[in-house]
Amino acid sequence: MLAKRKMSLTELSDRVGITMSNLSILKTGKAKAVRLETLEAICRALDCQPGDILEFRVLAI
Amino acid sequence: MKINGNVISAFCVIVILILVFGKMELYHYYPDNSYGIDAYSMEENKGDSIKSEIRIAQQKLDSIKRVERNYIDGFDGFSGSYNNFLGLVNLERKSDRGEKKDNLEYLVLSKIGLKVQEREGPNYLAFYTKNGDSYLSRTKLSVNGKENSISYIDKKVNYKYSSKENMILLPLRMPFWKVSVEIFSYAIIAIALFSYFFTLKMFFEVIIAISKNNGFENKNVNKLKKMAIVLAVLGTYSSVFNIIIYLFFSINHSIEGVAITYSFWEHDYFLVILSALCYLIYTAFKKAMILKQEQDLTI
Repeated sequence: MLAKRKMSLTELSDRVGITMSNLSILKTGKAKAVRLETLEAICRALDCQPGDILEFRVLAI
Repeated sequence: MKINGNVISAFCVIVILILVFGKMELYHYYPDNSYGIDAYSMEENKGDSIKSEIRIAQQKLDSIKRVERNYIDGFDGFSGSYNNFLGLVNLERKSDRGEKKDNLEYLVLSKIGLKVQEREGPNYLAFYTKNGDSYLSRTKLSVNGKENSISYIDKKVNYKYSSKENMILLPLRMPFWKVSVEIFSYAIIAIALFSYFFTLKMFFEVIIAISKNNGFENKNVNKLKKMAIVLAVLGTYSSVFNIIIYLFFSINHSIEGVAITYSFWEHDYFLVILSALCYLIYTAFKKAMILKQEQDLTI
């Protein structure tokens, strides 16, 4: 979505109001949970739906 | 192991049993029908007069016996060191009855004591030396019809006993045992001091970490776990060691009518309770650490 919107991580961080490190945690999938207000802010900044940035994958263990 | 309600209940029962019996003394009783409540109850109606008769008889006997015996009420002077487990001492008391001062070294059994088997009538236990030998003397009440008599039963023992300190000293004659006890005693002191030092150090480190809001971290949780383990090992080891000494002493040095006492967990149960508290805090901190990690990774 970032590439589609031609937006850098720094710009997204400024718009959403979360730190770069937290954004990095979200991007790499290390986050345990996402607050609804964070999700709402990201969707608002990227002008998209939650489904556009969330994906479900079955991990082979 | 899955911890459910039954396991917790069993643990609570064990803790309560330790607390209840931990303060009691373990007696090694022997049946002795020749004196005691059965004989005394025959003359029960006489009440206090019997008691005073017994006391006068006892005093008379005492004064006669004291002439020839070297009674030892307390160890006036001994040098050496002993800890909660054992130690070596030299007796420096010079006999006032012309007995030679021995140059033996004695093993101190600091947690074991003696007690005369308590029954109705006189309960008196004394220790004396005569011609270099040690004797324990206890009173015996005999009733024949309406006649009361009091006598002493003397038993030769191979240790020294002080009724004042309720302390037993076992003579060590072989150099091997002297060296072994000395090394073991100092090793125990070193291990205990080392363990206490690190437990205290870890305790203060955790306190400082909590004051700096870094309490719920892996290293602090591990420190609490280590503290719980060290305290449990110290408490259990000390108790088991003393119980083994008690059992060995009971097997080899039992005397009819004299109870060998040992206070279970006298100081050690405190360590075990501290350990349980540390484990409780460790469990709480571990849960809190997981919650904090989840909180930190919630964006």
